[in-house]
Amino acid sequence: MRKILKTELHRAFCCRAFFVILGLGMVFVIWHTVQYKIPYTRSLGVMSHGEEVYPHNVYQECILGNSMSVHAYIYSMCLPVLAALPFGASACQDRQSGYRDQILSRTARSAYYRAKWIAAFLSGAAGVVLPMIWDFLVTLWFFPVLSPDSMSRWDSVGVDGMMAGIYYHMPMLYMLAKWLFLALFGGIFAVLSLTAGMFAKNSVVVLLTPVLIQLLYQSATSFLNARNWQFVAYYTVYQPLFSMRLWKPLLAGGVLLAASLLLYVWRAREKDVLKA
Amino acid sequence: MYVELNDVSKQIRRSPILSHISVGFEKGRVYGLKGKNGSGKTMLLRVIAGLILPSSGQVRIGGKILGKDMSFPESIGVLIENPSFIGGETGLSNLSILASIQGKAGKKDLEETLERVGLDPSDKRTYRKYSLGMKQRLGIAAAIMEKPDIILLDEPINALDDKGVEAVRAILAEEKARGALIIVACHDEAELRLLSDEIFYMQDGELTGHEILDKDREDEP
Ligand SMILES: Nc1ncnc2c1ncn2[C@@H]1O[C@H](COP(=O)(O)OP(=O)(O)OP(=O)(O)O)[C@@H](O)[C@H]1O
Ligand SMILES: [Mg+2]
Repeated sequence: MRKILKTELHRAFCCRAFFVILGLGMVFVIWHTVQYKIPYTRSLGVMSHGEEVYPHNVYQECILGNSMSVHAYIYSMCLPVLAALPFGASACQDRQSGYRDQILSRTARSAYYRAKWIAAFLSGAAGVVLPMIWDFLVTLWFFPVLSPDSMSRWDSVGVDGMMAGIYYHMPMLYMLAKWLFLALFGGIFAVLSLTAGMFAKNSVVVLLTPVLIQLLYQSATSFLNARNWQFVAYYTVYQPLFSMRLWKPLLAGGVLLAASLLLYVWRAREKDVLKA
Repeated sequence: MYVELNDVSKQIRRSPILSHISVGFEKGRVYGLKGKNGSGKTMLLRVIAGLILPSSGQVRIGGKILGKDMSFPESIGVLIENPSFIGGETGLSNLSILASIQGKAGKKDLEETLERVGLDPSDKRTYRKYSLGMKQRLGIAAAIMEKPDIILLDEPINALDDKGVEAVRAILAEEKARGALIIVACHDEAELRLLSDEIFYMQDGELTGHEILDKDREDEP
């Protein structure tokens, strides 16, 4: 199991798709830097409204800082595809190409599928979170690390907002929590795609499955007026809604994860390569 | 017998693909499988490799029942139909990715194997840019690189030029001398006769004939 895991991790992380994802993320960061970070530092370096001024701080000016920016929006919407791209289609491709036969004559089927699941999850998680960490580092270059100010009405998190205590006392921990959340959902979307690949034959369909699921979920929650169940609302530092409850997206994500894992295991346990 | 099939049958959606196959194979011998298109040669090899489960009957390898005592044959190299590799990697790195699953073959072994099949280990071209025959050679290399006890080759000389065919002959002789059990499926009867010690004939999923070719083993049934 250890060796096949290493092999699958190598395939997931040392492949062109993974570097493409990182590259796209970098392009995104550069775009945001040119369009926002640089002009903001050139202007006052403060936000002002009448008498009141408030300095920009790094937690608000990174891409994840502001959910109103087009960058954050695009990134959240594309996240399922980005997460799926490195390794989401690999189960489908291995099976369709016959590459799986080469692997299954060298290791147990269960070990192969377990390793593939872990590799897909990790590559999806890393693929979406690494560019955002890089963006944070770039932002550090332009903006000061000021503690968020709960007295200011400019700050991203309301004093009674979700995890406000952590945000105002240990903003870095809050950032870390955001990254973990993002990584978790990157992983979930990647394995959703992997599971789709246990059924579908076309890898484009497989790669688009997570984004379709997200679209359906977004529409359903909007329709039911349950926006605080939407994952995308929780990606950013800024809290776009009043009644944010972290357990809600986590529960929904957990249900998606469990359902896909169930389907995945069901297909992976089939012992005959002609059947699954 | 090292590999033993015991009344193996396989149906796919009720249509019989393999019917009541009972046969044994020994180490250090080359077996040929001959039969028309669709006669079940590839399926038989897949069953022995543990890739598909027989609907009834069992496959024993070294006394252990496949799918029961072990989930896959411990030491096997297979080339089934068209080999498949990662398009963006070179031949050598493709082999090393596959070899890393078991860790039995080192970089030296892989380079040696590539030379045996007539490929250049230092070739920087990716698999995607390989010609058909080069792909086939790499498939053979993958099947033999770990010096497995059992080698299954499905149409190994497909797409190979004369030199390639010669290389396959030499490889089979060497692997046989090493003590490997080799099963080759091939359309070309003349070539199959050259390669094998015994030939099994297949038709509609059944074994219909058996012929022993080498002189020193004629005492066997
Ligand atoms: N994936 C599949 N699902 C259902 N039936 C299949 C599948 N693959 C092959 N078959 C059937 O199994 C039978 C045996 O096929 P097999 O590939 O073993 O033939 P073969 O002897 O290897 O032929 P060839 O000489 O063309 O390689 C054929 O009747 C074929 O139609
Ligand atoms: Mg065949």
